[in-house]
Amino acid sequence: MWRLITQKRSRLLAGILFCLVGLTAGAGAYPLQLKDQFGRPLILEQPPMRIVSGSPGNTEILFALGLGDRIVGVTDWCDYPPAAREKAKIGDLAPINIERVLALRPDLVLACNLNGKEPVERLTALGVPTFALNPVSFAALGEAIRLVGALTGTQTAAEQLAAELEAALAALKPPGETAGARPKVFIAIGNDLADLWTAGTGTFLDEAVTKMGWQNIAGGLGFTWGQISVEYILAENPEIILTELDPKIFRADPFFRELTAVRRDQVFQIDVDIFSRPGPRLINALMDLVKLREGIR
Amino acid sequence: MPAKTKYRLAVAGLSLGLLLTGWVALGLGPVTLSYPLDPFQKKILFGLRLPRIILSILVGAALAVTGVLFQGLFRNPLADPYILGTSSGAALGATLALYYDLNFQIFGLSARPLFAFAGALLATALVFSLGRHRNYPAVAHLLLAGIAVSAFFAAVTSLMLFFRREEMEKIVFWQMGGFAYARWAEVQVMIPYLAGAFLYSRSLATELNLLLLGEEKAHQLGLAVVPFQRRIVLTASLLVAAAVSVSGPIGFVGMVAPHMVRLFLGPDHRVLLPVSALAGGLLLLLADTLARTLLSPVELPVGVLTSFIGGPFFLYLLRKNRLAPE
Repeated sequence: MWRLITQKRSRLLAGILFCLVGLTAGAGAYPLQLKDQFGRPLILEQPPMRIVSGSPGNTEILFALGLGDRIVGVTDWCDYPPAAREKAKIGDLAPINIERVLALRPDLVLACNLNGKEPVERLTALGVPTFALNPVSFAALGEAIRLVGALTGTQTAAEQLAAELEAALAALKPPGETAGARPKVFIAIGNDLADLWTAGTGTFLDEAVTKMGWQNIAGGLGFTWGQISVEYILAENPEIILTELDPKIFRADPFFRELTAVRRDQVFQIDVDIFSRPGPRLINALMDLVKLREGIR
Repeated sequence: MPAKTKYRLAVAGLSLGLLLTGWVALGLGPVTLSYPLDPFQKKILFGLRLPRIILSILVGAALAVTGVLFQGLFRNPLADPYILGTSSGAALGATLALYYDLNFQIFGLSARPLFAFAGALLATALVFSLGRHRNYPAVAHLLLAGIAVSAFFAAVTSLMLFFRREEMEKIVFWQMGGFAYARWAEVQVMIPYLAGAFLYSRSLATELNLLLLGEEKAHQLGLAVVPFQRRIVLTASLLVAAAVSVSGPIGFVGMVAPHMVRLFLGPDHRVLLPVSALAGGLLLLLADTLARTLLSPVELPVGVLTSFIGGPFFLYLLRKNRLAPE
């Protein structure tokens, strides 16, 4: 109920903002004051034209909102869309290289939770408009997209993208009433059975499978990414395995081939990289999960 | 107490410790066992826990023996099994297998341990040939070559990871070392190397004792120093390459286990080699048992725990020994 109301309210808000922008031919919305996802206020006098992105996820959001031309710098990790590779590089995600950012003379640094608190504070102190996203859940990602839209005057595109994300999330809900039956899922990451690791609570993968009505066997164990014992995986006997490994490898292993997931041929290959970056490609990844569910007994 | 009695006591005590710890470790794990065992429990017990216990003992023993050999060869207390570049070579091999996404199996071993083994041997061979000085493998040259080759191999690994950043976490996980999915295949890899080293260790031990007197003295006493040093490097390298390929580089055990034994039993290599093997095996078995049970079902990196229990224990021994010299 609350969710519905807040959703409606934010859409209304976005609508009003959009009208305002429309009325004043795109200039009147500025100066603009917004709080970022860490509650830090930012005032922009005019639409940002030289944006530095602090993460692959941020870069993908900016491109999806049609702001590719306004990006002047990205991190070394930003490899999608292909045009992102052509941009000037600012180095690693954390700690963000302040000098290289300054050298690009940005009028907006779109930072994120992974950039480290201190460099972001430094940039702000040095007078660089810095806005930090904290997309640690799907809901926060939707909000982040809308915030970027408001910051850059691309509310319409942002609203559409966020709505697509919410539609994909809604589609995750299990069809019909399947009370009690929560199939167990093991998320197998790595490229050798000898040291698999997995995604726990606090990751997009965990949130997605939980929303699907599945039960992540690595959920609630106190880590986001970690290793769990093979014995535990065998004891839990998951019915579904999501993995970047070739399913063949599970069928060939004397222990894993006994798992219900393997015997029922319910080992599915997914792109873990997409799930580890909060960006618009998650929408398609979620729709793929929905499709994949049809093959499950 | 006469040295012979002390030696026998140490062997008996450590063997008993190994048996008891192994027995307790067999009963620990996420799956609770109830007697009589059903087929699933049997599978867990004999297919997962037992090979893991045995493998951790074998790897611990191999690391400790290598530690003794290298410390003897270099007459340097800081020498550890990876001093000749083995771990960086193995890391490069493992990274290559990751980089080219190789998936094949030989003798039940996948590409990564095989590549790690090859990389470890390659690095040591390189160090050994570069470290020769006028056909004379002066140990100082070997040490320096070891540092240089390690740095170079580590740089190549980093460079490869730079181009395949998405693989970075996997190699970082591997480099922490561990026995997460130990099987009999890995045990089978370890056994011939360890058995070979043991059969050979008696003759190595007497000669290592001569080397303790210094290269020149040893030479005067009739030891063919250079061929002997070559034999040590070969034995130790094969042993540590096998260990690092099945478990990743696990630190601390190989350097510290020999010192622990030395504190009690003195520097005689005839004693040091077998007792260090037992001590290393016990230390790594303890560490791995804790690694898999402390936060069960979460696996902790075993390398963290070897230092965590080994470090303070070693400090305690050092301190006690200083206060009450024999």
